Formats: sequence, C-alpha cells, structure tokens
Amino acid sequence: MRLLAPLVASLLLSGGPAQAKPCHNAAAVTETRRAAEAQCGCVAATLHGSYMSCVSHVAHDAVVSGALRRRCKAAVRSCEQRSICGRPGYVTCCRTTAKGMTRCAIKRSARACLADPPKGGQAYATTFLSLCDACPGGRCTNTTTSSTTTTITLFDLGHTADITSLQESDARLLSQDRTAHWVLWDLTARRAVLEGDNGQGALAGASGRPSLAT
Amino acid sequence: MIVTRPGAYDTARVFAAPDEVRVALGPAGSQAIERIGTDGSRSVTSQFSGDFASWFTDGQHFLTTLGTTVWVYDDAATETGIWNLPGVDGLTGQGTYFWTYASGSYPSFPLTIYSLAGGVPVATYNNDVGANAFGVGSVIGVLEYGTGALRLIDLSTSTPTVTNYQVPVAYLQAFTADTSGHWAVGNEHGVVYDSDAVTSGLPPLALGEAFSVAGAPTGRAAAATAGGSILLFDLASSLESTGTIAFASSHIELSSDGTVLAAGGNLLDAQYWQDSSLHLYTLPTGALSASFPYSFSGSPHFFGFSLSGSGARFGRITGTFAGGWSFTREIDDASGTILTDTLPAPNGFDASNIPAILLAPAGGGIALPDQTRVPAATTRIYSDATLVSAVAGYAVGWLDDNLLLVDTYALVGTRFPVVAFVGSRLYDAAGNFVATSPLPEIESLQVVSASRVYDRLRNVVYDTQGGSIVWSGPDLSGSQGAVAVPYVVFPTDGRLVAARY
Repeated sequence: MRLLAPLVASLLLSGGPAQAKPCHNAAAVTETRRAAEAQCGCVAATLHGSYMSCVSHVAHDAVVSGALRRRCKAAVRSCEQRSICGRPGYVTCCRTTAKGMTRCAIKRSARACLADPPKGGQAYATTFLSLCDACPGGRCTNTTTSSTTTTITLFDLGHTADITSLQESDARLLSQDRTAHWVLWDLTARRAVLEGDNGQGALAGASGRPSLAT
Repeated sequence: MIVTRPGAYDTARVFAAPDEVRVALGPAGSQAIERIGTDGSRSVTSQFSGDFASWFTDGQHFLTTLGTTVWVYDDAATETGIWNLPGVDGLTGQGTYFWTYASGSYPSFPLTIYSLAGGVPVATYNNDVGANAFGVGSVIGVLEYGTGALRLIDLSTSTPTVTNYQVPVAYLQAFTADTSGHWAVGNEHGVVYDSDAVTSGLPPLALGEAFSVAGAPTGRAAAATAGGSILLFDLASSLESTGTIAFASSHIELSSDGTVLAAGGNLLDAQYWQDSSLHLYTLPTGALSASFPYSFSGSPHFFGFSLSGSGARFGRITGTFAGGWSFTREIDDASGTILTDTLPAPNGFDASNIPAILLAPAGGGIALPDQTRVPAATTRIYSDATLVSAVAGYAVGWLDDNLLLVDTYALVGTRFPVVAFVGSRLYDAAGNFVATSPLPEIESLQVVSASRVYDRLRNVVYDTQGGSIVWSGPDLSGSQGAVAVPYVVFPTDGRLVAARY
C-alpha cells in the first residue's frame, strides 16, 4: 500500500537567509498534500503535468480558505512535483551506501531501482509517493551519526509548535502542543516543573477543559 | 484500568465528573445521557427533547436543540428551560449563562450571551472574522484572529463584564483561566503568555519557536524566539545565556567575531506584526548601534537582509508594490549606500523567494543572483560598487573573500521536465571558474571555516573539499541551526541545544 504524504518538514523553507519567509506549518502542508493526492487521483493519474496542475489548484484553494499559509504553497508543490503521481510504473528509489548515507530519487521502475545498488550498499524501492517522504530533501543524512549526537540544553523554549491545549488550576498551568509535547508550569515561580512528550493529559482540579466554539 | 465499556463511543461527547463520566451522542443515542460510574455502574437517563448539542463547561447542564429551539437540562437530565433563539451556532454554556457564537455570520460574527434565568440576551459582542471563543471557569476568552487581542468576558457577576487585553504576540489560538481570574493564552508558534506577564511586562512562560539561530567562529551565538526575545550566548565561556535583547525578529545574523548582531523584524507574522525594522546591535553589550525602520503597512516593505562576516557591510532587500512588485537590493556600510540594484518582478514572481544578497566575509565581494533557483539564473559579481563579472547559476555563498559557491540547475526529463539541481561550481572574486564543487544543493549556508560549511536546514556540516558529511544532527523540521564553534546550535524538542561537531 502506498503511503500518502507522511509528515514532511525539511522542504518547508523556500528561501535562503535573505528570503525570510519560511513555511513553519508542516501539518498544514501534509494536510494539503493529502487532499491533493486524493482529489487529483495521485495513484490513478497518468500524466504528471495534469496532476501538478490539479495540485496547484488544490493548494490555491487551501490558501484561499485559510487552511494553508501562502508561503507554504511552494512546499506542497515541491513535494508533489517530486512524486511518482501521474507517472505510472515509477517508484521512489533509495540507495544506501556502505557508510550509511542514503539518497533517494525517482526511477522509471522498481527493476531500474534495484539494478543499481551502490558498492557495498543497497538499493530499494520505497512505498512512498514523494521523495519528500522517502527521504526529506531527497538526501537523507547519515542516520548513524544523527542517532549518536549528544546535545547540551542551552535554553528551554517550552514549546516549538502551536499550542493546542491549556489547563490551569492552583497556580499550575498545563500546556500541550501539536507534537504532544507538554509542560507543567509553576505560575508562582514562573518556571517549568515537569515536561514530557507523547502526552494527552488533564490537570486535576482545572475548571473544565476549555470549550472551543467557532 | 478502572472501567471499560465496549460500544459505539467514537462520536461520543463525554463530560468527566469526579466519580462518573457522562456520555452524550454515544450508544444511548442523541436524546439520552449514559452515565458510567468509576465503580462500574451504568445508567441511562430518560429521553429528553431535542438532540444533544453541548455540555456546559462545568458539566452542570447540557443543551439540546431542534432547529433553533433550545432546551437546557441539568446534569440529571431534568429540563430547566426552553427558548427559541435567532440561531444556535456555537451553542454552549457555563454556570448561569449560555451563549451562541455565530462565527459564520458576516459581518458582525456576534457572540450572544443568555441568562439561564430568563433565556434572554444579556449581552452581545461583535467580533472580527476568525475569532475563537473559549468558555472556561467563569469567563469566556475571545481570541481575535491574528492580532493578539484577547477579550475577557467575566460571567461571575450579575451582568457580564468585559476587559480587553493586548498580548504581545500574534496568532493566539489557545486559552484557559482558573477560578481566580488568572488566565493564559498560547499561540501558533508555541508561545505561552499568562495574565501576570501581560499585565506586569514579564517574559512569557514559553518563548516558543526559535525563528532564527546565528553563530560565530568565536563561539558567540544568538537565537531569535517567537516570544519576542533574542537570546544571547557566549559558548566560549559559558553554556548559560549571557543576556537577551527585546526585539521580535525572524532572522538574525552575527558577524564572524560575534560583535555585531543584525536582526530583521518578525516577517513570519507580518500581517499581524507591524514592526519589520532592521536593527544592528553591538555585542556583548546589546546596545543598538543602527536602526532602519520598516513596518508591514508602510512602503517600501522590508524583505530581508545579509550581513558580511566583518559586520561592516550589510545588504537590505526592500519591495514596493505599484500594481506589481519591484524590489531593491541595497548594500550599505558606515559611509552610506555603496551599491543599489533594482530587480523588477516578472510575472508570477513570488515575493517569498527573492534572490538574495551574498556578501564576502570582508564585504568587498558582492554577489547578486538575478533570479531564483532556475536554469536561467545568473549571478553578477561586484567588487564594492564595480561590476566585475557574471556567471551562470545561483550564488549560495562566499566560502572566503575569493571563492564564491554557485549552484546550477537544469530541466531534467523529457516527458515531464522538472527543475533539478545539477551541481555546484566555484568562482573567484573576478568571476573566473575555479573548480566544480562536490557539495550538494544548499539552500541556507553558513561558512564555518575554509574547509567546513554548515547547511542550516539539513543540520549538516560538510567538508568543502570532498563534499562528505563530517557531522549531522537531527532533522530540524523546517527550523534552522547555526555553528558557533565548536558547537552546532539548533532547536529541537522544545529546547535550544548545542552539540559539538
């Protein structure tokens, strides 16, 4: 089964340092891509150009409706441009070298992909539709090195994604963000006392979870 | 596990009371409430009129509707009132009030509050499009879309009272309050402000995203946060922050010696953040040494800047809209403007992707690409104000004062040609071809040394000679890092961290 648009992050910046208009909403990009792949018939499409035309319309509509920031439109187009949608038989193909570096590209067929493994490494056809998902940016970093990176915390920013929930009781505030990262704040000392990930919590004694009426 | 029940609860609306959960729109249907005790007991209320609409936020009542007829029931499903309202959009309540929020009713988008006693409107508040209303405790918090404005409606009094606050960040989207009236808001960049901070000028609880990180070979580093503070570090001497600068910026750069910090105003929230000025600061004091004021509603608009490694020269990109955009790239130093370049926008020009200004470390070499990353892109090379050459491709950065890295692109494929990176080349300051480069396409480059460059987006340090990766950190999900020798500084998992490379 093809995987439809998993989270894409590394392609969300469209410019260099002087083009300070990055897209910081990976979720919206993913949602728009998912909508485009469904509405434009990614798997069934036979012409990539027509497919991309449809994607542009979907992205435009998403911007108009407010679901997608204008500056994120390019990220949607970029990922779908580098997809196999509308290219029957093509596959996203990744090659991992003997040193663990992986790079991905679109190949005409799974056979063409498997026929060209790097020396001492391997080539494999992925189940992803886009290079954005097969390997962010089309060039994967060396995961072995990444996994052993030792970091020192310079500053606790609290959250680095949009806040989705706040609950408050007895000088304690529980904040949670889109990535499921949560922080329990001591409002008297004005500092974090506890934090974690993958949480969906409730603060005991909070006067009801806030209701959102829109 | 205390208790579990099988059934069609996927669309249920549940209120969690101290010793039971009250389930609406569950297996009992839309006209009865199922009560499941923590002791495993289960009961279902008698059928009520209308279809379940919402729980009061305190759980003491719930609302049902049929058309625009509204019933109010207490937690035992005993009817306490029935009224016909003008509309039932956003119907909910708490305490002795219930309200509707017609978020789709142009142009006033009214929030109308009714008393449980009489079922008549006791207050109506008009809103702008896109506002969110949160009922919690004894208040309703209304967050205006984008602006940072909070309207706090206090329902603890006989007549609702309103207090307006201006939170100093844009795009608020979460709200809560406690019974004492203390409140907190969060925005789409992870910033969390509480009422104490807003009313007393304290920093926010959570500073949120690091919009931009800058570093210098001397170990000095800085991070511009969504909370409006620029955090300063001198990693050569300490891992603790050495201070902050109060300026909301989305792009910062440091000079090579770390004594000049350039900060452009927050362009990420530009529609709702007026100040897009460019500030230059002297470090370590943090004193403002120069300022170029710009605002979102003014003209020209500010689109970006570059700082030379020496810190003595900087480039500004501004744009003017007159039926279409035209852009100006201007390079300045202490003596004033040394070079001005105008860039007319072709059809379909995307203002978020304007060709950059690339300044050599000493500032004398200036590279100005004429287009974005397309096959036809060329880069003009200047020595101060003198045009000395032009090369094919899109300049990425100066590896030193006499070595310019240029990326090249081509249309690849015959059936469905796409623009693809085809390689990078090195030119000297006179525009002479030096060599091909083994480096991959780099969209945001920081030169670490003659033999090392850092890709801010991929969080990777490359060897410039062989193109190999000599260090890589975790994926930054669209954020950027910077090298402050001997560390790479980047945001990850809610923290700003440093890793030796």
